[in-house]
Amino acid sequence: MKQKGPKVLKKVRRISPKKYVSNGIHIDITGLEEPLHKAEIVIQALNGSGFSYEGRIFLNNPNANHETEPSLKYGYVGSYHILGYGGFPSVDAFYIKRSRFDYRPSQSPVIPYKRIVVTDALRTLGAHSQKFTITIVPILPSGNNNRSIITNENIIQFDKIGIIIR
Amino acid sequence: MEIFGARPEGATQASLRDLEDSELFIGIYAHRYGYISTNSAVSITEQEYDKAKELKKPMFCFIVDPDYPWPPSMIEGEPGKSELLRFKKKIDVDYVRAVFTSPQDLAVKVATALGHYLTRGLVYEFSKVEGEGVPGDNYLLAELDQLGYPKTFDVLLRKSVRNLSAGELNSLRRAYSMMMAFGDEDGYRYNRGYRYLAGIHGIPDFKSKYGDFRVFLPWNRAYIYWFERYLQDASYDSSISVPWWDWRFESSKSDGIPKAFSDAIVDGQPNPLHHFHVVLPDEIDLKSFRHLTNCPKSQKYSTQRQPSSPSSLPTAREIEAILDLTDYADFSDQLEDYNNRVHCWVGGRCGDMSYIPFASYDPIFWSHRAMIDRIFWLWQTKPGNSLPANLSSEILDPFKLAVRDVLDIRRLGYDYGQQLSIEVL
Repeated sequence: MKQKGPKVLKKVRRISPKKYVSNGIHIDITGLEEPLHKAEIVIQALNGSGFSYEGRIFLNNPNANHETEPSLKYGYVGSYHILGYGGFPSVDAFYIKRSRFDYRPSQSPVIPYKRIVVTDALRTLGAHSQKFTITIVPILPSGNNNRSIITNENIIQFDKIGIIIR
Repeated sequence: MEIFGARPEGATQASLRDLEDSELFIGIYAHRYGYISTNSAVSITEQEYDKAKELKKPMFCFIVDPDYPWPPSMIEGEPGKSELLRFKKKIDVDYVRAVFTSPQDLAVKVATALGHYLTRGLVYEFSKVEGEGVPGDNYLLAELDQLGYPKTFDVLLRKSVRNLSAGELNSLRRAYSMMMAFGDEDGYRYNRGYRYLAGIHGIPDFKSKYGDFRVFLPWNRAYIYWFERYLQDASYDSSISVPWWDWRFESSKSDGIPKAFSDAIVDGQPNPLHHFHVVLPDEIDLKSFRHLTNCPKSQKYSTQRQPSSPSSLPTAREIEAILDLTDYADFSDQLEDYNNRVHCWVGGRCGDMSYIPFASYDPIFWSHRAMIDRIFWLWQTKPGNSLPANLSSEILDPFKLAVRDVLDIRRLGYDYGQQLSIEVL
């Protein structure tokens, strides 16, 4: 009789969406030629092909995570929401085989940009600091404690991020 | 006059004095000419009309359809009958008037006219030119005209889903049912069915314009407009409109999704506003979606929702803040973000609303997007707000409309308004 081996424990599926932390960006708002009119964090070419998520943005709080209270006290300056395609790098990837007579143009899941106005926050934080780190914490629609989702890749993908002072 | 109470003056004087203090004049005329006092040649009703005209008040006149059944006891005989006929002709020459039938019909028309006046700060002028009042300079309308849509001055009123009467809600459900039944056999090829219309946004057409501030809101407007017209067509009911779901208000904060959408069964029948049976084209491959999200999506399924806590829906204050933005790009970007937030709120982890390919198959999609359109319209009606002129010729594919065609919702033949209660005397 074949002896049963030790029970193999099923791998626990944990969600671990990675946050993004920028390098330090130098901005001296006290040294501007004109008073600060408007400040925006601009994120260019976001990948929307995967999960839908909320990107919570924190300034100067690289330790922020999904449990950090979204208030300026902890550097929270706003968020953006991505409505994703759910795992398709391009819309064409949905099709097993697209008809050669299907002339509909392909749609890109790349979102050209997201802008988050941070004028007041930058005025407040800029009085004490000239160096800023931008942290983006992804929050999934179901919250971040759902164990049935595997995320080995970064949810947050984009080409560029920066702060524009107007 | 029933609400005048006791006053030290005659009914005529009281009526005319109140008219002076009024912001606008609404005249509703059926089959009675009204009381003629001894020192006047015309009735108080006509005096009020003349006085309002003299004072240059914004005037809105509504005359009952002569063919609409009316209690004989409420129809005045001679000599009032001839006087009334003369008076109505006078109104007809002076102003464009709307014709009404039932109390509900009158309520909608009064509310619509007032809605225009109050939101635009202008007197709403019904066009006297036949065919105006609906856009006639685009292909879509030309097509709809060919399909026999009446040229009408009526403006359809979109209402809050929470304010729909039981009858209106039943009509809406009936319309959705009929539209959803279209195309079951022909799949996406039947271009008048629910599946085809929903497929424009996500699978299989992917025409939605996320992330493009230039056209996201105009495209959304064209989409809901288009859907609404085909909903009317499917149900043979031109009074059907897409109600908006106002997720800002306290009722949404306590109930979440309105009962109109959340009840699975209504009167023993499946509620078509609750879900839709999706049948995706065979050539669609869902493996990547299932792998990433671990959601059990297959070629045939029923839409579902996994709403979050109602307290996390956008608040009235948040929306007021974006309505104060004056730059169109700022406003559009932020409203799109709220749009996405509500999508994810409804859909949760695996619900259809959370992902672009499936979102529009959920029947609540249309009412959510009508709300987005309504906020866009509220922003447009604020003094000084407008879209950059260089966007006007952007094409809103596939609707055969350009941005300029959808800027004024009154030209599209609809408006947003709360229901107005009117007692017909």
